[in-house]
Amino acid sequence: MRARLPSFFLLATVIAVSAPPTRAADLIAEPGAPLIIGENDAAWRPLFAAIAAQGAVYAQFTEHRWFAVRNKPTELTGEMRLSPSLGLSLHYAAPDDTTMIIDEQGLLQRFASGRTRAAPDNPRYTGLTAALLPVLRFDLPALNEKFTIAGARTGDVWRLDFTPRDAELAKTFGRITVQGEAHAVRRLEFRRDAKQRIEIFVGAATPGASFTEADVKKFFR
Amino acid sequence: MQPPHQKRWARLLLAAGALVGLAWIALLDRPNKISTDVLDLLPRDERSPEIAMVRSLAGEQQARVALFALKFPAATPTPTRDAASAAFVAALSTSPAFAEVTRLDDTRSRDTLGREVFERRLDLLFPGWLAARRADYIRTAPSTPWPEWLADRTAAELHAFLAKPEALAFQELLPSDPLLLVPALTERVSGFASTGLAGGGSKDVTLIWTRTAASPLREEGQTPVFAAVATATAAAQKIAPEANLQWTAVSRLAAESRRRIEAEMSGLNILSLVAVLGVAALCVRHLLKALHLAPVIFGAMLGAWVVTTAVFDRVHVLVFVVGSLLGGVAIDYGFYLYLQPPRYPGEPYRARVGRLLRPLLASALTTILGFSLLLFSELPLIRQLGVFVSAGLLSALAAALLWFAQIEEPTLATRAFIRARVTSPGPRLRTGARALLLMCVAIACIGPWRLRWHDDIRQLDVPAVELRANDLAVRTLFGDETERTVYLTRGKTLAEARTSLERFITWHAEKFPGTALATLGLATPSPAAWATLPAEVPQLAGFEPALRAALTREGFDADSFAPFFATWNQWRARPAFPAYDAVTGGLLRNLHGPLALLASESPDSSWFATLAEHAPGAEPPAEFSTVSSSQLESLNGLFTRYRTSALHLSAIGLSLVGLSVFFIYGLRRGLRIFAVPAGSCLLAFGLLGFAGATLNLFHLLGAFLGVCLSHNYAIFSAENAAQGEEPPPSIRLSALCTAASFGVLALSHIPVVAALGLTVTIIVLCALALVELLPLAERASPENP
Repeated sequence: MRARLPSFFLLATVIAVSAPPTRAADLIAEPGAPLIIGENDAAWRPLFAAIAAQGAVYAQFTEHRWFAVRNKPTELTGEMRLSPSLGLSLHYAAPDDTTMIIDEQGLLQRFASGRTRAAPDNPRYTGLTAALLPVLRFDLPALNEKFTIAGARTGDVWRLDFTPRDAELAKTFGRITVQGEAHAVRRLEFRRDAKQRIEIFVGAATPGASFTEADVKKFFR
Repeated sequence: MQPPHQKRWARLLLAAGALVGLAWIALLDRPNKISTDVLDLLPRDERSPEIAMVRSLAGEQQARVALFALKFPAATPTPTRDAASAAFVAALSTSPAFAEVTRLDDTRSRDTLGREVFERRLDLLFPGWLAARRADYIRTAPSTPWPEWLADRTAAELHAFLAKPEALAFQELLPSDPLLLVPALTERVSGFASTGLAGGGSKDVTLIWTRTAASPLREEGQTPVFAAVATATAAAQKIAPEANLQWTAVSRLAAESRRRIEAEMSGLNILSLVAVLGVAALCVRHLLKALHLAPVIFGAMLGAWVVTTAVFDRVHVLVFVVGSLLGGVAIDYGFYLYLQPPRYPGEPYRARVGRLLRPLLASALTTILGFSLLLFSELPLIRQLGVFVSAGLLSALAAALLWFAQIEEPTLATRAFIRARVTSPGPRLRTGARALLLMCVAIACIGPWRLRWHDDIRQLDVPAVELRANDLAVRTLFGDETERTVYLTRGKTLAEARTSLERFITWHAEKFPGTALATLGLATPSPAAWATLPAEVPQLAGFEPALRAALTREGFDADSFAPFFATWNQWRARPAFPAYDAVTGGLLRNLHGPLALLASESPDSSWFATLAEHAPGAEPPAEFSTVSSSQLESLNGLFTRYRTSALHLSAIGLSLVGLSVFFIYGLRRGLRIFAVPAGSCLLAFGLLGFAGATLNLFHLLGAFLGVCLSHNYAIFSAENAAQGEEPPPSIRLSALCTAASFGVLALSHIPVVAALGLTVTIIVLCALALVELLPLAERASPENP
C-alpha cells in the first residue's frame, strides 16, 4: 500500500511537467518510431533544447483521472509552476486545495492548512523521483538513460512516448506520453492500461514566468 | 596519660570493628549488590503508570533496541556496499547477544502487517467505520432507511476520494475496498511515514535495526554486544575497508554512565578528602596530628557501607557517590573531641568526654533521628541514603570516641586566627551585624517564593554529551528527526488499553486540533465498536443491493466491485464473531522489528504507542492511562510526588529534631538553637531564589542534611555560651571542612550530586555566618557595654 503512494505523487509530478493548449483532435493519436540517440535524434534535439530553455513556466491545467471502477473520468483543475531550480509545483484548486511539490529533495504534499507530508527518504521513492526529473527538464541524455523513447511528428504537432527501462517503474507508471505543438506541451498521459490512466490538458502556458517571493514560499519547498 | 585498660579496650574495639567491616566489604558480591540501573532508584511496587511503562519498555522493548548506520563513501560500488552490509548483518545475526537483526529497507515485516490488515479489514477496520457512520445516522435522523443511507454515503465518499492524490495509489485496491477502510487507515497513520518505520535511508547508508538479547542495563547486555559489534564491523570492513559504523544503544549510554559515575566516585572522594585535609592544614598547628581525624572518616565510611549493604538487597551506586560527602560531616565529631581544650592541665579523657557527651549525643542523635525518618520515603534512593548517613554518623561518633581514647594526647591546637573573637563589639560593629542579619531575614523571607521546582530523572546521570549527540545523529538517519511527541497508552488488557486509546484520541483532537496522530491502535477495533457488531450486521442485509445502486448512480461500474461483495457476503455469513482479544491480539502478536515498538500485549499489561506531529505539550489526564515520552524520560510528575513526600518527611524530621532540642535544652534555649538551622536553610533557599535557581528533590535532601549539620553548630555554640565560654573553634573548622567537601560535590558532573553539594555548602556557610553574627548583634550587657 505504502509503496504505491510515491507512485501517485510522482504521477502527479509528471503531470505538472506537461504544459500547453488542448485540442485533442489535432494531436497525434499513435506512438511514433523509436527515437535512438546518435541515430535519429538530430531532428528532435532543437525541440528538446527549446522546451528546456523556456525557463520557469506557469500554466493552468485540467486533469482527467480514469479508474477501472468508474466509467467517467474524475476531473481536477489547478495551476502548475515549473522552475528549473525549484522544481515543479502543482496546485490543485478543485475539488480539494492541495499542492504537490517535486524537487531535488523528493516529493512533498502541502495541504491548505499549511501541514505538509513528505515522501520518506527511501531509495525506492527517490529512485522514482530521480527517474522523472529528466522528464520535467526535457533532458534528452538523461531521459535516454531511464526510458525508451518513441517520437512522431506531423508538421508542428509532435508526440513523445516514454517507457521506463526499469521493469518496476514501467509497472508503476506504464507509458508516459507527452504531446505538443511547436514549443508548447499540450497534453500528458500516464497510461497503465485503457482503464487506468491520467490525462493532463495544459492551458495557456506562460514561459519565462517569474515567481514572487510569496509564490515561492507558498508553492515550493 | 591515658589509663592502659582504656587504651586496650578502645584498640580492641576499633580493631574488631575494622576487621569485621573490611571482611564484610571484601566478601561483598559487588556486581550484584551495587546497581547502576536507574530503575533501581524507583520503588519496585510503584503503581504509577509511567513506571509500569518505563519498566516494560526498559526491560522488554525500547531499551534493547540498538540502531546501526553503516556508512559508505559515495564512490563505493553498489555490489561492494551490499556485500559489506550483508556481512555485517550476518555477523550480528549469528551472535547470541542479539535477538533480532533487521535491515530497515527490508519491507517484509511491514508488508506482512499490511497484508494482514487488508485481509482482515472487515474484522479490524469495519467496526469502527460502521460505528462512526451509525453515530452520524442517529445524530442526523434522516428519513432514508439505514442500509440505503449507508450505501449512498459510501458511494459519495468513494467518489470524493478519487479526486485525492492518494486515490491513484489505491486504484487497484478499490474493487476490494470501496468502503475505503485501508486508504482511511493509511491516511490516519501517515505520521509513521516520516519515521524509520517507513524504511529506507540514503543510498550511501545501510540502516540496521536490532534488538539485543539481554537488558542493556546489565553487564550481559553490554560487553557481549560491544564484542559482537566489533566483530560485525570487522566483517564489513574486510569487504569495504572505507565503511564506517555509527551506532547507538542504551547499552552504550549505560556503560558510559557507569564508567563516569565510578570515575566521579573516586575523583570526588579524593578531592573531598584533600579539601578537608587542606582546611585542617590551614587551621591546625600540627598537620601530622590532624591525621588523627582520618580514622574517624574511615570509620564512618566503613560503618555506612557495611550497614547499608547489609540492610538492602541492591544499593544504587549513586548512594555511594552522594555518601562520599559523609567525610565532611563525620569529621565534625573528631573536631568537637579533638579541638576541645582541656579544662585544666591533665584533664582525663573520660572527664572531657563526660562534659562533651551531651552536645555530642544531642547533635548526633538528632541528626540520626532526622535521617532515619527518610527510611519511610517511597524512593529507595532516599531510604538508602537515610541509612547510609545515619549509620555513618553513628560509626563516626563511635570511631571518634574510641580513637581519641587510645592516643596519648587527644588535643589538637588550632591556629590563632581560627580562635579569634571580638569579645566586646563596639556600637558600629553591632549595628553592622544587625543590618546584616536584617538583610538575611529579608532574603530568607522573600527569596524562597522566587524558587522554581522541576525534577528530572536524567539528572541522576552523568550527561554524556558526545554519546547523546551520536544518538541523535543516528536516530535522525532512522527518520526520527521531526518534532513530535510519542504517547504510550496502557491497560491491564488489550481491550482496556484500546478503550483508553479511544478516549485519549478524542482528548488529543480537542487539545491539539489540526495535528496528525498515528497509532497502530487505529488498525484495531475499539471494544465498544466490536461489541455492537453482532447486533449491527443483521441490519445490513440490504446493504449490498443498496450499495450497487448507489455506486451506479455515482458513475461507478458496480460489477467491478465483485471482489468486495464476495468477501462481504462471506464475512456476514459466518456463524459467530470471535472474541475481541483473538481479533486484536492476533494482529499485535506478530509484530516484528521496529513495528514491535508500536504496540505490545502481555499477560500483565498491554500498550499502544501513538505518534503526534507536535512538540511536547499538555499531558493527558491520568484517567486516559496515557503518558508522553517526555514525561517518561523525565518522570517529572512522579519525582514531584516523591519530592512532596520527601518534603513531608523532612518537615516531620525537623519537627522531631526541634522537639528533641526543646526537650533537652528547654523552650527558650531550644528556640535559640533551632533558629540557626531553620534560618540558615531559609536564607540558603532565599539566595538560590534570588539567583533564579530551579531546584529539585536533591536540593531538598541537601537542605535536610545542611539543617542537621548547622544544628550541631548551634548546639555547641549554645553549650559553650551556657558555660560562659566562647563558641569552640571546632565550629568554624567543622563548617569550613563541610563547606570544602560539599563544595567539591557541587563541582560534580552529576546534576543531582552538584545540587546536593551546593545546597549543603550554602546552608553551612549561612549557619556559620549566623553563629558568628548573632553574638555580635546582641544587646550589650551592663557589665560589658
